[in-house]
Amino acid sequence: MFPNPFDYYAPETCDDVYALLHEHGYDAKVIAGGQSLLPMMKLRLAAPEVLVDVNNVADLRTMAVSDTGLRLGALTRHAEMERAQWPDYPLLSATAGHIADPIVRNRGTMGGSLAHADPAADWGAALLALDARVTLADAARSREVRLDDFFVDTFTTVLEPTELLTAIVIPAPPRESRPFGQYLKLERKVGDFAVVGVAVTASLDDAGRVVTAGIGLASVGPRPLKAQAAEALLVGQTLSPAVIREAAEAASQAADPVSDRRGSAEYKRTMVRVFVERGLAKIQADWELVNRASA
Amino acid sequence: MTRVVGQPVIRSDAWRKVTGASYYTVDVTLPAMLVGKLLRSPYAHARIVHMDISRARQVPGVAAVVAGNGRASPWGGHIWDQPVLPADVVRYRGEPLVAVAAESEAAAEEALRLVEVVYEALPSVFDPEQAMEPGAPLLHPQMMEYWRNEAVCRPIPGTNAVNRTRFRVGSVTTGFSEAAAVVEATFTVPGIEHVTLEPTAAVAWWERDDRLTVWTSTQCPFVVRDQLAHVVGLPLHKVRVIVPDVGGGFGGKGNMRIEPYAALLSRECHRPVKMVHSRYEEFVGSTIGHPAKIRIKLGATRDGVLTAIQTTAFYDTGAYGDSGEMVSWQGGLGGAGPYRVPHVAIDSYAVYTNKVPAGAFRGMGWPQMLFAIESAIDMLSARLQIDPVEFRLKNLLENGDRFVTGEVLESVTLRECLLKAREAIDWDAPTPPNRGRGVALVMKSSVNNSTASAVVKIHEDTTVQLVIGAPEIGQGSHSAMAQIAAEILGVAYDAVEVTNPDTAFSPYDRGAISDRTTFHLGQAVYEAATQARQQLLAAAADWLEANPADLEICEGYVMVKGVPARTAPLAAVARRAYRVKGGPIIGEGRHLEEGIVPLDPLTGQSPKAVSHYKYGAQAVEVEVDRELGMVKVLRVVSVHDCGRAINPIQVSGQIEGAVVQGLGLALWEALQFEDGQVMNPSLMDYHVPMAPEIPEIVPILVECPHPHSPFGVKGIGEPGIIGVAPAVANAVSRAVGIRIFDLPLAPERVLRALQATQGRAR
Repeated sequence: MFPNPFDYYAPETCDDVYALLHEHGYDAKVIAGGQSLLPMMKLRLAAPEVLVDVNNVADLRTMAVSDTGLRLGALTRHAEMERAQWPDYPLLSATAGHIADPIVRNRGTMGGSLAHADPAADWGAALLALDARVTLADAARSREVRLDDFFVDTFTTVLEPTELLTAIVIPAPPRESRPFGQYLKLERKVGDFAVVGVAVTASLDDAGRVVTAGIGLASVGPRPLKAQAAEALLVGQTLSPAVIREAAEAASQAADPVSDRRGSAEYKRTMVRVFVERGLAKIQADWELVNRASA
Repeated sequence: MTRVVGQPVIRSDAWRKVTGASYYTVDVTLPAMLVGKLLRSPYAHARIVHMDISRARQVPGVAAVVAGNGRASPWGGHIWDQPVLPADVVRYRGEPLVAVAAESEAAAEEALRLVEVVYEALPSVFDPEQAMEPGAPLLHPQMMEYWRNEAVCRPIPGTNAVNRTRFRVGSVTTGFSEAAAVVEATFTVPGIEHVTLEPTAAVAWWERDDRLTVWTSTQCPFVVRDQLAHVVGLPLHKVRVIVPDVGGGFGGKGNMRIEPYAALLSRECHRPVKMVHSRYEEFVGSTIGHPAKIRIKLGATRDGVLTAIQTTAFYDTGAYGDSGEMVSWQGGLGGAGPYRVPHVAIDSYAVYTNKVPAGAFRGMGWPQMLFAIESAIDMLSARLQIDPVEFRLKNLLENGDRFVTGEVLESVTLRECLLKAREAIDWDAPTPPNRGRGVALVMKSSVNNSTASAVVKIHEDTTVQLVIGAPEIGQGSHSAMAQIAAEILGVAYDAVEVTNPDTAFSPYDRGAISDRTTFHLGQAVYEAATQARQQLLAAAADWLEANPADLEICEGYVMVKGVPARTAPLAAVARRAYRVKGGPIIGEGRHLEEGIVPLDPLTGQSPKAVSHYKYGAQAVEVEVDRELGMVKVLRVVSVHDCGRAINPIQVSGQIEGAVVQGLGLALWEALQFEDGQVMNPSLMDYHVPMAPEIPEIVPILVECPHPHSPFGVKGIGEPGIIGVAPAVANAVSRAVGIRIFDLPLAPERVLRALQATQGRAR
């Protein structure tokens, strides 16, 4: 199948992108990796009149680590995260390897995935767990929005048609703690969208107490979800089986799945509980391993 | 000792496949060729009140539009129930209504969009058992008026049952009264798609002088030729079917599919028309493997000796028979499994419903039937607290036993296969928690009326042309046939070239179905090669002044036995035969299994029901994730009696491929229907097995030569798919104590069963 005809621009600066978006508004779509937009255009589920290809914009390809956090340009490819080794952000590489297949990972971008806002996408869950923010900019202004405030509904975000998602900012884990991360995904078959995806991250101090915790859920709601009540239950606690069980139960209550061909709502909710439990148990086991090694 | 037969030679099409040089039907391109498309019914059952194709005809680039069955006769497999393009009633969502040929795909699709059809919805029925109830909407009220092959198609008048096959041995009432334990259960198997790599495709060219040539991706060129000639009303010599390379069949390409539409369109415009199914059309508009519902009642004595079995099977054949009557007939043969049971009552039905037609699928009804039987056998062995392998060894069929047909079986190797499987899976070793092993026996009948013929031509340089009518569909039969010919002729394997079928030149063959090529066509090739060899030796005898009976062929020479000095180079013999004696060297062979007797309609008794039966055993080890409900198959041991492996590598390949398909049926594959609509008609939503999911598969060959076949071969294409699902279900039962009655063993289904037995885990 072929897409409808469209005009194509490939600007090299953010300012040129802003100008094009300003000019074409709702008629334009930004294309980065094109791993979601192009199939939708071929199926004629999307028919933008103008495509603004941002792959040539160098400013969107930056990565910067600082004491306060990690700033990733919107064009960061999934595969770059799969290969990246940032000890402070273990959830990123843990998640990237689960995304689709190597071809999609080589081309698809983190910014594109977030802006597309598919509730089944893996980055949404992982970056919610990491409490990330996104930078949205147009010619007049730039604003930073918490990811939890960014996602509105299925395929819907607060991004204005004139705005470009330029970067993702992930806060650094607290000092005096060690971060851990696990991404667990139930898929019907290799490379499929998640039936249920669960991102779990926690920073533990030397005593094994949770300093910060994050739990993000994919495919179990109209948008990627952050299981805040479950996160709150973990902070200040050591990851005992009872604490883990309680948090897992709370996370499963935060899920809002629907029954479909991938599974019943009840099954998906159960899977959230099992995966959060397994993710936290693995984090505890990893912490014990590290602690024993350093002792 | 054989020289070529039994050797793991490289298959003759390997180079073509690996380098992309293969030439499939979709590669066929002819001058002025058009593209054909079909309009498909959006209703499961509806009367066509009004149809207007005039606007479609006016679309620029459209060369032909055909609708209605006025100029094409109804057709079918064993019952002619199917209109090519229905004029009055549509019976499933996806049924073709209008065909268009145009210069471009876009023009064809635009034309289809402009066809106006007014439907009047009719009551529909989707469940085979409901479809048999009195008062159910009838799909074919005129069923009894259709032509049918009465030997395998026995409809029940006034119902949707297009076939009932019955077997009666002894009295099940008596049998169950002798039983100390009886299990009763209902099993279901979903519809599955063949998912051939190459979709259904055809190019048809109807020339102005009424000669029809069709290039098509089929398993049965002569069947397609006969069916095409029948529907368009041409004599056989005016219909020529050519089969390029074929990318898989699995039963889905055994009858005419898209060919008649291309032919009818070409008849209108006398230009070649190419039609290729999209993957979506493969799901909604080709044929599928039969969904089935099977009830089993099985009894045994306290010592574990089977006393009686009562089996009722409903094969849901969809809107048209296609091969459903044969599927229920063959599946019915398996209704007591591969067991010695004194009292048997089997009723096997094929039932019309308003769904996409189900047809032949690797295993032909046996995979469904043996899922039920082999599951029930394990349930009964558990009830009696007898080891499942021991229980089977006590009851399985042996040489000289009578089958449900009453025929005396020969060359039965179930015991040997099961013992090998038990050993290879390490049956008695302890398993860690949540792990278990399961077994299942395998049996399969082969098709009847299976005419095969072959021609062997020896060229002047002693290279050989083997002309046969059975396509190479990926199963490796061309290589096996070449090996048989080379063995007999005393030439090298690669000196034999096997031609792809062309009904204008190839001798008749029933097709690449039902494990029949090596067994049936192999006998024809054997005979043809033997005849050609005799001609070659006669020519040499004349030259060497010896009696042909005293000659042998050895490493490129004809020599007089025991007189090494008197030899002649084979090539020189052949050249001399052409140039001096002036005649071609051509051998012919034919084979038709004799003595087949149709089943008695009431009792299923026959002294010889089919040409031969195949035997095997499957054993698997699984691990169950109790929290996710996920079943992981760790290892499959698949033991089969192939009689004699013409090529051991290819036999193993056939087994591995079939086991993978069996794992799909066991764990993942299922067409999901809602009101007759396929809800997962894509490879995104329909889960065929993928490489990372496949466990270790250990094929083991048992070679017990068949008494009547060349080199003792038995068929091996189908058996590997049979028995995988029940072996997995039995292993899951032994691992975590749950019995799954419905395929596939999907995580959610397994988890529910676990929760039902334990109460909620927490």
